[in-house]
Amino acid sequence: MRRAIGAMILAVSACSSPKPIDRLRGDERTANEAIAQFVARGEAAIPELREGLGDSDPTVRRRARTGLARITGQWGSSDGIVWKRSMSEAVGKDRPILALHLFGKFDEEFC
Amino acid sequence: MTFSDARVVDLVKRNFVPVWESVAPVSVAVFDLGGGRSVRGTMGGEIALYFCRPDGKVFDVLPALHSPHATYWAIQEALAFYRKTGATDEAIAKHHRLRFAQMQAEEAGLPTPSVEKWKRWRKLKTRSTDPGTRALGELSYSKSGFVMDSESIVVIEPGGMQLFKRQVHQALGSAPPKTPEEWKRHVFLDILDQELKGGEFRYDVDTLAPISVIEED
Repeated sequence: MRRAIGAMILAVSACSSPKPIDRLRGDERTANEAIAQFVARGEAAIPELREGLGDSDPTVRRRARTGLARITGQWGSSDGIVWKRSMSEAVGKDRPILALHLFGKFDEEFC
Repeated sequence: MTFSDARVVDLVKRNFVPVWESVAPVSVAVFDLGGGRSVRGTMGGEIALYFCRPDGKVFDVLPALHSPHATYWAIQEALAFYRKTGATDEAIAKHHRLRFAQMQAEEAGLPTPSVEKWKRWRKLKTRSTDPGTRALGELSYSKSGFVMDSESIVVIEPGGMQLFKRQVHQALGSAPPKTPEEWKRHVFLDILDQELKGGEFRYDVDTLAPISVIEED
């Protein structure tokens, strides 16, 4: 009986905790924390953030886009190239390097 | 759009280590209209794509933003050169000297009359001693930012491939391989005619000087 109650409590808490993508609906601080967690997960978080791009709330869409841009290194990219941010990160691999020089930052709007 | 184009994305992902570096902040001109009102304009600068060996030395450059189609074929061409030669120091120098000689013989990559006219027009627009008026002139010919339905897009006018490539072949054929950082000033200042500066600039509209609106042929 005690085990069953424990399992029920676990199930209830799992249902009640919001999905990470839902935290993008929260206040600025909550959303920023959620974005930081997505970014820490790296490319694995891309599919979840991509879901946010289809949200009806423009604020959620914008926040999802911010998270995606920080992971991919490119504003507006959801399934494209994942860019490194400096030549020192890119040299020494077994492939040629494509280096883009630009004004502003490629992972921000209006770069 | 170029780096969201499926063909370009696939080609880059399969064959390159992609990296971007900022050369300067974007320029933002703010015109103070008084009464707490202002107009902001974003002046996106030029870009340059460097094709580098894994050690970071450049073997080819594509200055300026071009259409996805033109960019795709420029990347393909650079990749073919790398695969064929390994982009050794000798191969880089030989390739670019040969291309430059070909372009010289064919008189290719020289400024056309329309390019010369555009350069004169640009000089006219930026000749004003008033910085606000110069910024307005720059806004009128730079990449332009628009906002549509809460989404921002940047509109640019691609072009100048041959003109720029001629200068790239001349430079890379006559210098030892360098890193993008070492080529940066030559590419932006000499080839693209683009100063490496940016940031936010505020102007009082009352200080704007009259500019010539009638073009001379």
